[in-house]
Amino acid sequence: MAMNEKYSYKDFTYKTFLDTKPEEWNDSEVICSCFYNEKPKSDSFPAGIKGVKFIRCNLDNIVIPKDCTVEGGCNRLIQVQKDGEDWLLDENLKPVEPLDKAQYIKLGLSISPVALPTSAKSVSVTQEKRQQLEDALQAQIKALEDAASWR
Amino acid sequence: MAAATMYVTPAGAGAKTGATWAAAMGEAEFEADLEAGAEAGDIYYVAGGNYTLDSAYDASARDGTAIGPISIIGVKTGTSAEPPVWADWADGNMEGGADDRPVFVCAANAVAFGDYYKLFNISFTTTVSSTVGNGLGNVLFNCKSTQQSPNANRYAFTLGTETSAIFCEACGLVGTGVVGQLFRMGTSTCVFCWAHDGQTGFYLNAVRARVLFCVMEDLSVTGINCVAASGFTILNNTIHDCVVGITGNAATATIIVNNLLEGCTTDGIIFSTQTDGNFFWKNHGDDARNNDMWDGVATTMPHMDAEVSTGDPLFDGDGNLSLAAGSPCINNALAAILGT
Repeated sequence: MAMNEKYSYKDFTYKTFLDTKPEEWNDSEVICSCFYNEKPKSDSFPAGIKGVKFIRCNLDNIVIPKDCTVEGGCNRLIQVQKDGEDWLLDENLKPVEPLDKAQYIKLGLSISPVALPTSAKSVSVTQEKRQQLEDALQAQIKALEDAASWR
Repeated sequence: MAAATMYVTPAGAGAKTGATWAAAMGEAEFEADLEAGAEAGDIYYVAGGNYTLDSAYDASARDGTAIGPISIIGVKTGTSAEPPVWADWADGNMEGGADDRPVFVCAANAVAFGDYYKLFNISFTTTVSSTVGNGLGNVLFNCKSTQQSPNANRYAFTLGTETSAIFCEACGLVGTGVVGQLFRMGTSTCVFCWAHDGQTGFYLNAVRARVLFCVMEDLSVTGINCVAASGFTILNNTIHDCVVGITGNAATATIIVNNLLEGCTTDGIIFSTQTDGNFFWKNHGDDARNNDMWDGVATTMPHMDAEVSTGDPLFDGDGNLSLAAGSPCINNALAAILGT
């Protein structure tokens, strides 16, 4: 199967192709392109395409057409939650854990969806936590500088 | 292991070890090596093209050193020299040329680097809240970050302590203006950078952050925001068509010299607390063209800008904010007499 030159190695973040012709896609390999969309379970490809192999593509939040296959890459369900960060969702679109779980753990934030705030935050929890850490650091620096002053 | 020079292309080649262009790493091999094998002195030459991430890049635990930084250098597609020469380096688009930098297409995948990295000629597109994060002592040259998310309060670059951004560009989706902070700065320096189409251009979040010779355009909140700290240097910047030019808050010991403010719709420079310990000199702008040029800034000597210039700066319409002949800003900075 030949590589689809038109749709391989491209950035199609937030784009949809519902109005393209299936012939542009059928029986080809789409390699290393990003089709990420903000909305989970987005239909991005034209109805009726078949025989497309998506190789190492970012297909997060994208519905894979039934007659197409995926090899490598990612096809997760992701959505920004009220804490201002991206979370992985289950099939019922319920948050499971933060996408950047390691960052939450490093910052000492809960990775349980139970801990999600009930109202939307204007600044994300990771940004807020980093700001607190930075403020504390700045206060320490100022205290040290004051102590080391020539006076 | 000894530091190595490695080669990366979008598809990779041959055995994908990275030892030569003929055996270049692909995106997956590059990520694996960066996260688990990068060490001080390593140099990655990354050829032009798109690199689609399918997971986060977390190289925050892989540090270079001050004398052996880890370098990631974008070069033009088709580069064959080993190692590449200067002429092979990928170009940006800030001088009107083609943008042939390699693009890391991150989408929702975060990217974080450790300490002492040199990132040259690399472009990122992202939707993550805080991405292109940098540790201590990094240098970014000719890099770009485009925050694509429609959600507010996202960052494009996060610059760590003693990090420098030179000739870099940060923006949101043009026309949307929702990106929170384009350059979020610790104690870091931005020189010859361009921030546009977002909310805040430069967010100075730690003491002694510096913004020098930068351009800010079409920002829906402010060009520069000095956040509750001190010792900032804001020098020789052009701030054009922003809602506010410089938000000082209560910053102290801050130097604001030789900046051109034009077309700010609410304030040129605003301090919520008039802080007379700051220093203003040779800036350009007036109320007629910035609504309120000096909001919360002394208008009496010795604390005011004693040599402010005013009037239409006469941009010459080339889109680059160049000054036309007769501009009151030309030769308006310090006229030094050196040694004679």
